[in-house]
Amino acid sequence: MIDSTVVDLSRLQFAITALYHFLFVPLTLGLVWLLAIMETVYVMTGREIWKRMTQFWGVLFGINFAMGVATGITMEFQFGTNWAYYAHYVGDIFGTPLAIEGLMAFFLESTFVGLFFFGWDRLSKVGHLVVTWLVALGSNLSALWILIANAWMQYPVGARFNFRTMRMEVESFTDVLFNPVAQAKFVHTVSAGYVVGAMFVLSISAWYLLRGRNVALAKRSLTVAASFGLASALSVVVLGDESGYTVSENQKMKLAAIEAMWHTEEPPAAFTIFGFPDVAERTTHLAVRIPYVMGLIGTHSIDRAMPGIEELVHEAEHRIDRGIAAYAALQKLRANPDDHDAALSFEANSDDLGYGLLLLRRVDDPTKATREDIAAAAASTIPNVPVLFWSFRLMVACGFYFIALFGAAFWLASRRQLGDHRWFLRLALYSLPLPWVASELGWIVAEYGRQPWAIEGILPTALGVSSVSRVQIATSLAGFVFFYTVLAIVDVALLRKYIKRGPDGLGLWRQKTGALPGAAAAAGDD
Amino acid sequence: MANSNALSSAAPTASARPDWFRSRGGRRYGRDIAVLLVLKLVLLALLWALAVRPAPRADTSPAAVAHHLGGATGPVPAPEGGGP
Repeated sequence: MIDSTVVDLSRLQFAITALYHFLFVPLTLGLVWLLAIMETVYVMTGREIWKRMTQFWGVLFGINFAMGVATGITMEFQFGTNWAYYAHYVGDIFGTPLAIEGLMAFFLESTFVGLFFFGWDRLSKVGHLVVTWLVALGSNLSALWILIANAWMQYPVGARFNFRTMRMEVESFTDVLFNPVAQAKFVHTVSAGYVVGAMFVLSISAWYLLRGRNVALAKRSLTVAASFGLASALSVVVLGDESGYTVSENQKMKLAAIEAMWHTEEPPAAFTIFGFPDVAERTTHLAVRIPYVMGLIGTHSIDRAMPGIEELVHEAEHRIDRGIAAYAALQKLRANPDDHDAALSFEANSDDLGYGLLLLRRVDDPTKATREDIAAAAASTIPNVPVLFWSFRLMVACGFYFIALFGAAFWLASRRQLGDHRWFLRLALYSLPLPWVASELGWIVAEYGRQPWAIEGILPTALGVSSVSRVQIATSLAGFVFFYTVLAIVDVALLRKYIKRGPDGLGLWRQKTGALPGAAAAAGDD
Repeated sequence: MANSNALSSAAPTASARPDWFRSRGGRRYGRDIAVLLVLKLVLLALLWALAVRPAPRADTSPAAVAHHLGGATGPVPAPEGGGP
């Protein structure tokens, strides 16, 4: 029987690692485009201040990049140590985009990051600008390949199970590559990263303005961040809608859990903006509902129904029945690969083999499961409704707040009043953590909402775990926590040090005089 | 001054002075990044040595996976061809 503690510890370890890694990734994704924009303005105008802005934000980008790089590699350690069966079962598909990411995007990004820092006086202006754009392209390509792999876990297309090798194998890499979920996730995730980058620049620039330091750089930086941030925040919401639509098509239970939609509603379904989901009673207390909205978001129509949790559990029971048939056929095929009847039965039911495997948390042999076992396994397909319900709403609330904040910043910038409203600068400063909070909540909605599946409908999470002991997992978990805590302390200390020094303290720019040798005339202000 | 001119004529630069990343502040920044990377490499190596290397290598042969999924006992066919 599967050890639930080992499963939970393995999941916790992976979640901690992924959430930690994802503190750095979105800042890299977003900040690099701001560098590219600033340097483009420098090349187009020839004004030295834009070069210094690029270099200063590049200094902070470098710290974040150096920290973030390889914090994700520990997840690949874990595929080997804690998730060996997962790695075997789906590694043929999942491993390919990860390998391409390393070979193509990461090497591109890393090579040009080096040139970004050491090429300022070795490359022409345009040559260096091309390098900066290639860093941006590389980091975003990296996200694309990772999200292609992740999207396959949410919507496994282009592969089928091979009973001889006992694993999933690629049938169509094109289908894996052009998975609609991957496209929706990619644009939503990278635009969320752009918001993180924009908020980083906005908040730190606001801090300089509040202190009357580096005013010229801060105002320009804030203006760029406001424009880029507003466009990104609007994109996140629009593209998030597309991401939600793909969930309604492919992960109906996840969407029903996010909405705490316990029963199928008459179309178009209402959106519950607030409420307290009660899992035991399968109802939502004090629900505040907006008519039509959920139906429009989830189905892009007013006449298509969205199934509720009760109905989806009922459907899962039927799929488990078919999964049991597939499992029985698989056992016969394992014993005799030439068993024609077993092959036909497996072919007819193999799409639901994963549902049959859900029973392995309760019985050793799914073919001997009782109706109670089947009902319990079907109920286990419901993710944690309150966590998803609130994570999603907080994420969406953050998204709308970002639109308002960047909209206000854009308005003030366009009226040249950025330094006039200290309340706004304080608001911008204190908003700094929010995009990270929203990004992590988004990860929770996407990945925690996928439970109990490692691969949606194919492989239950519990079956992907290696045969390791609790002590081994607990020891490595402690190691990960120690490793990441030390790095986090060093990272925060370094970022604080360079932000506090600022462009003036670092000798990148001098306040008021614009007085870098040979740069005063070009500065044109301050 | 002569050195500065020589530098600027030797490479296509945006300004006549050496770049900030080659200044004292830039070199200190480079040292900070290098320390960070070395610290990370050491910690990663430690983590690998203490937590990853001793972990048992899971048997993921088809027979082992079949057993993992519920105790199939049949012969292990050669891994060739597609599914049924």
